[in-house]
Amino acid sequence: MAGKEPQAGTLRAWWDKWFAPAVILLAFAWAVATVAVYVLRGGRDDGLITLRIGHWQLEPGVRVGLNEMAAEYQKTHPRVRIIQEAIPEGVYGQWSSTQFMGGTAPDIIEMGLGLPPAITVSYYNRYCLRFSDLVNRPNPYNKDTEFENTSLRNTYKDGMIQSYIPELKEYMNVPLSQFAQRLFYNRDLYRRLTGKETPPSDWREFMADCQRIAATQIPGGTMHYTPVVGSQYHVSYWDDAVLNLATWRLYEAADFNHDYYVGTDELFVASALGLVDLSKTPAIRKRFELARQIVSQMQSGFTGLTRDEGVFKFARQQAVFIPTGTWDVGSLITQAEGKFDVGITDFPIPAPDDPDYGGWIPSPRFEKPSAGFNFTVTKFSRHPAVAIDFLLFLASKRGNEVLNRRIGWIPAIKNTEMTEFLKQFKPTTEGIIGNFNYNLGGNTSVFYSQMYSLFQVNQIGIDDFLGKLTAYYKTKGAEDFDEQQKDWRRSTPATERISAVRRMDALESIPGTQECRVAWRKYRNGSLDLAGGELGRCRMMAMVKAGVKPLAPYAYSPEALANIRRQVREKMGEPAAPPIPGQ
Amino acid sequence: MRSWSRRGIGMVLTAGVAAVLPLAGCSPAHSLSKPTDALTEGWDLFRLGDYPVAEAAFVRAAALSKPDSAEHQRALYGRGMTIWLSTAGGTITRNSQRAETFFERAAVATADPNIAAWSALALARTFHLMGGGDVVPDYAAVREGYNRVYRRFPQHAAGQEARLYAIALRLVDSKPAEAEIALTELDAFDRAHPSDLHAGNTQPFRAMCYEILNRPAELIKIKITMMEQYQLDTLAPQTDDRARQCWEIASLAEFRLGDFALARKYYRMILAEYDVEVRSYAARRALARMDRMEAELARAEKGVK
Repeated sequence: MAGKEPQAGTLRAWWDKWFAPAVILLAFAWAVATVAVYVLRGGRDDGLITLRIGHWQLEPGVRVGLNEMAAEYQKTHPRVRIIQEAIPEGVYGQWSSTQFMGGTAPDIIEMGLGLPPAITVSYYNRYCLRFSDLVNRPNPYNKDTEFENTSLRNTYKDGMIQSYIPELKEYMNVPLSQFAQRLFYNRDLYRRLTGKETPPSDWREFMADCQRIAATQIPGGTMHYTPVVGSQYHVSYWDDAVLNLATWRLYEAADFNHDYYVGTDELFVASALGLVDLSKTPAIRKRFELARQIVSQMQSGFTGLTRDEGVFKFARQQAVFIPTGTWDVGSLITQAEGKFDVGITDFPIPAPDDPDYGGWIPSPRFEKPSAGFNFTVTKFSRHPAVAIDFLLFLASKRGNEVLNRRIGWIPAIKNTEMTEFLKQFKPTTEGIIGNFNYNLGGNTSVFYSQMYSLFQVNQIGIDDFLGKLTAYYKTKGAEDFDEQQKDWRRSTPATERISAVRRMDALESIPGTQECRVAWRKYRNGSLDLAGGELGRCRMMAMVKAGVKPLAPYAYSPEALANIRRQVREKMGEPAAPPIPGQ
Repeated sequence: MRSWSRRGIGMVLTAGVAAVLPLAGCSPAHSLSKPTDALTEGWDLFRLGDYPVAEAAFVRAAALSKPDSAEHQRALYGRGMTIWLSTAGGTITRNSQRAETFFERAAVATADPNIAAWSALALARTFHLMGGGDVVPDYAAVREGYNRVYRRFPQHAAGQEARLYAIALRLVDSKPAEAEIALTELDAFDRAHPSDLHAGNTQPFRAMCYEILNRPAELIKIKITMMEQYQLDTLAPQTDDRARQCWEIASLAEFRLGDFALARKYYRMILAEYDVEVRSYAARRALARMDRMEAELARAEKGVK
């Protein structure tokens, strides 16, 4: 049968001849009709306003919470329909890029994932509306509350500081939630294995508990309990919460510009000039000693495990502790429901009188209250006023409280209520920060990751690890430092672009108006950024080139010491200094 | 029959494509008949980062305007900026060279002196950034380029910005002799432009000079002046940088000058003015450290007596 030609004039022959063209014609007609309907409808007001909102929050509760808020908004705005586009984190960067570049971005979009910071800034600049005027006006949805006459930014716990994009000198987004990281634990299992109710805040006691947990066999098997869940995702929480704190005092040797932070360039210069030695400086060594101790409490092979695999171990009650953030509260409680109680505790740190670590970590970490879940309105929105209005609804005192209660997150707005469970996330607002900023990028970063992974799984010891790191930092690190300086120069057109836009805003403004004055001030304030950045970098390069070990930035100079002695002599017998505020 | 049907289908498809093409763009075609409209369009597209289309708009603006008009000059400037700044790191030299032609023409045109000044500054800046990250600029030549702009437009913001760059770039090698000259030049600038746009913008460079010259007392004094004259953006007060400035003054006063009274004043300012500030813990520690140090020194003094 196969290959036999149908007879001319038969239905089969007609079908064979016209089938393909007919399919093409039908597909073409469908495409024409779709485009025509889309275009024609675009210009017509059919009474409905559809807002699209794009985000990457696939956690349980977020989509439901937003849908419920949309439904509530529709009660007072019956013509508005809100459609969510929830995109997985892994592809969010590509998705948002294609949406922006294709001109099809949703009306409201969550910003801040999957793109380098410079690209995010450029997308804000090109594709998003500016909110500076908006944030300085009261939120109309706060009528009849204590915030009725308060500007929007002042209703936020963090003053909307994260919404301000310094490069653009504008507020660019509206955040809706606040986040924090803590140590979650299986309350029942912890009680059963340690005989205690609450985990300790002291590092050594915590380690003792972990050893007790690890010594207990899981019933019905040969495996032992895992004290702390480890995975590629979860292990990094310990860095900022505990380990890096040991390096706080590095600022005394490397904060050359006296801003209290140690930049990657400053650490490199301090190392090159002999002010810091990665293998010998005690602060760095202590940091990795603590790392060794905590990774020993994680399940073997954790560096190869994903976030989900880590959570799975906790949900199966094979591990007691899991470090994560508020965004996981809902999913962890859901998974534990009916099986065990979930507790929250802060990360343990060494006690101030700890003989080995107390001097290096004299305080808990500083946690800046900062809001996230940031949304902006795109320039592609056909209904920007409605999109902004919906965001204001979500950012109102009541709206934000209800939204976050439904999601299970912490509200971003002041004086809002949250569940008892979440109250434990109150940030520590006085404390220390880590200053081990080793990552110069390029090969240095790759080498560090490789060596740190080997160190974490105990394939190399601390001396070997720090020795290799130091040797690499001094040789290849110098190349990456040099490249970092070149990269800065390569990025200068981006700085100039922003400056050019500010200049045009000023030139196009009407002379004598407030808008004109503001526009010129913005231009003026950023006009010397290029020279300032260049001189700062040149200074670092000149220090390395000179190769002379300088006085550490926070060491008393001989002149200062002489001055202090002179003043003490003069002051002897005088009354004591006034009390310190807050003490 | 077969050839007719093929021809027929082809005709139908062509007609369909022709009919749908105006719709497919999904936006009305812009008819830019005035140079001012084309200029506005060009800058709007520049803001959106759509550089090839922005350049086309500036080309159109130039074509629609008379060669000696202000619009023509603005179109040249816009086109130059678009070509130059559409650049990625690797193409900066080629694009700078292409843009130079337009800046040069806009800088010598006389219809809009404002644009002439900004074009001259852009020309100097292209030279400054030429080569991207892979070439260390010839700073002497770059400075001369900026100085030329100032000599031509001394009373214009663009000329004054150029002058500040020329002075600042003396400090790239951190040489004390150059820092001394720069200080003299900054004094002269401040005298010449006490109330112009860039008044007060000399201070960060003065501070760098004092740092290079290791003159901590003057460095701290200028830092205090900078802090006192800090112009807070009233629309964005959250950009308040005072806590960092307080910390810088306090720590320099403590460690470089040994002026504990001054150090205490600014450490205390951090604690008094900020509820949540990353430096609070360290400021409290610093105050305790200074008390301790003074007490120890006093004990030692008593022992000596």
